[in-house]
Amino acid sequence: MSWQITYKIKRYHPDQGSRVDTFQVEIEPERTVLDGIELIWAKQDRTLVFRHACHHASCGSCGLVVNGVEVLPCIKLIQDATTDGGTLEVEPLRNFPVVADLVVDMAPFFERMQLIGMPIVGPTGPLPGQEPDEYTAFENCIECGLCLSACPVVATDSKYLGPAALAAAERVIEVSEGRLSDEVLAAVDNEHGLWRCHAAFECSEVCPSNVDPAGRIMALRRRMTFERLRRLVGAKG
Amino acid sequence: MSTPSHNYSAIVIGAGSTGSAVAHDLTLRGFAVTVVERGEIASGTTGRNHCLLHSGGRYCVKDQESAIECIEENMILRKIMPDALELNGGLFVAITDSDMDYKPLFLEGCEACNIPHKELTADEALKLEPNLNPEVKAAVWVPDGVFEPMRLCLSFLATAKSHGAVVRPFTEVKGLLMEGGRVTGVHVWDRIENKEFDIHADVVINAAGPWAEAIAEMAGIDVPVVPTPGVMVSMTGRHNQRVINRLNKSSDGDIVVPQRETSIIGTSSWKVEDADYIEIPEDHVRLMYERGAEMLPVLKSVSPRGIFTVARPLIGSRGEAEGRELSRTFKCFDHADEGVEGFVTISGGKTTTSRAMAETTVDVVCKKFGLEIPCTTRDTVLLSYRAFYTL
Ligand SMILES: Cc1cc2nc3c(=O)[nH]c(=O)nc-3n(C[C@H](O)[C@H](O)[C@H](O)COP(=O)(O)OP(=O)(O)OC[C@H]3O[C@@H](n4cnc5c(N)ncnc54)[C@H](O)[C@@H]3O)c2cc1C
Ligand code: SF4
Repeated sequence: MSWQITYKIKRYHPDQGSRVDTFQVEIEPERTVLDGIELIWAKQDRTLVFRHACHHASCGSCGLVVNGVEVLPCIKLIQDATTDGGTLEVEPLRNFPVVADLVVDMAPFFERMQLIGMPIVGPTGPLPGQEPDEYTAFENCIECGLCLSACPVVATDSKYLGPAALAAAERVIEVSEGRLSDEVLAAVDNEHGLWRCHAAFECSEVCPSNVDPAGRIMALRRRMTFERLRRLVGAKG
Repeated sequence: MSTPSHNYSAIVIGAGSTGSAVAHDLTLRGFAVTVVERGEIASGTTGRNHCLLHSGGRYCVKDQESAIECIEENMILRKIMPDALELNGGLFVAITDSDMDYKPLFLEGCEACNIPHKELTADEALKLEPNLNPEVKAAVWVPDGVFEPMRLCLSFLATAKSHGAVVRPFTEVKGLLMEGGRVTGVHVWDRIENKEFDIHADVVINAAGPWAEAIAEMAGIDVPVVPTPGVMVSMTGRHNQRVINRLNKSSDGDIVVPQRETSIIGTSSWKVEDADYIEIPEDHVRLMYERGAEMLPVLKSVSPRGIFTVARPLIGSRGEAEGRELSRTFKCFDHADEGVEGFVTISGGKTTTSRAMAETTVDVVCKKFGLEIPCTTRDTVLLSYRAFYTL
């Protein structure tokens, strides 16, 4: 049985400015918020632009703000997002330049991820009760940018490195059991890096992939503080 | 590496795995390339597929041509694509007597197609994958892997960009420019700027997947593409580290692909007319749960995270045998054969074999211009997908 859903979608085109368009959609409650958007594009309005690829929370491209909260619409079922007859207010991610409609420019984000250089494929822990052996797996972070969209610090400091990149730096140390390169260290250990975070924990709240960026930022702080102390003590001795 | 020198230009329609690999190969062979994709990169079939880097095991009994293509390309992608592959291997598991009857055929097939493989006892298999059905009778390990489809496309495209390609997502082809029986470019709609304009080139390559037929129609040519969707169910949590295949003839719901935080059960097969939005048949979804749980019973007790579907661009004429029977190998059409110059269509195949599909396509294109430039994509290590955004 299909549900009747109202989608209110924030539209933007470079030479037309912003507006909100309303669409009525008939869709099964087991399908996703993203399916509804694709259905609008397929049957009602071919001008709607949005990002999507994998539809299972792996590519990280479809992130949006739905009813005020950052979500990956590809794994947000209609029945978990609203009720029959309900409304979905859909906006592009916050804190990213909007290209058009729901499409944001990810270039600044990927520049930071590239700078940190966390390999997207790495070793993974075995399942409980399982012998470790050789295999690799994708990292949890799908580079969706939801954490940046939700972060109150990113909203006020455009130079802030942001939760995903800081979490990636911590992961680089963890996986390689090593240190960060001087270049990465310089980007992380400064006033727009590690020490800028307010510990609002919004990032971990919205992260769809169990990265816990806030937890990782705190862990990275502990590491850095320890490093500083060690150097201090070392210098005296 | 020196770029071969000539001044030919090419337009590639579609930035799925096929178009992305074609664009990369074309730039290496000296073409000035423009890629036009109506949506986001990989927003067609590629992005939404099952993410299996085929070892060829799934085809080694019934379709050895496909199986050989798969294992060859699997080994090549391991070398050239460091950034989009999860190399975790795969098991073909026997649960029933019928599966055990299939095992010798499968082993013969692996031998015949040169697929590395290793027989495992039930205990060995359970030790590797504790969530397997305890009834498992035996298993065979093969070098399956998992890719991330969008990142795979972005790696090809980033490398193409570094060699001068212009990549235009959100640019939809509305028509082909024709001059006296020759395709000379495309008329496009830039969906970001909301503007229409023409792009000219010496050759246009139609890599529009299930939509290749619609593009070919714009030149008055019939390309028989049968959009053949399959359902996949992404479950909450990752319950297997390796790809788990049923050791038997291909059938619905006979594979569970792990990726990141999920295990994805797939897939099925039916035919549709319009691949833009596909309704998901409920009975297919139920079948996925049932069949998936035969291999990994834990899947019965976890909830789905998302259900998705997308259409294979299989070659064949409508009304032929059911989808699963159509060849999995690809076809490249030089439409000069139908009297239209400057226009090539590539369709069918798999993401796993996209590099080989591109090699064949660009061989055809080079021949049209009398160019003899060897393909170098086998040995060209691709840039990171991140470079797509930063170049
Ligand atoms: C259910 C399913 C599971 C699969 N699983 C696997 C797997 O596990 N492993 C594997 O290797 N293969 C798999 N495949 C096969 C594989 O996904 C496809 O063969 C492959 O993705 C086809 O790629 P393509 O680039 O040819 O098509 P597409 O990815 O569809 O690319 C064509 C592109 O053209 C664009 N386009 C369409 N019309 C226009 C226009 N007018 N203007 C501009 N652009 C346009 C579309 O938006 C699209 O992005 C699977 C297929 C299906 C259906
Ligand atoms: S840390 Fe989480 S929310 Fe942030 S980009 Fe990575 S996956 Fe997305």
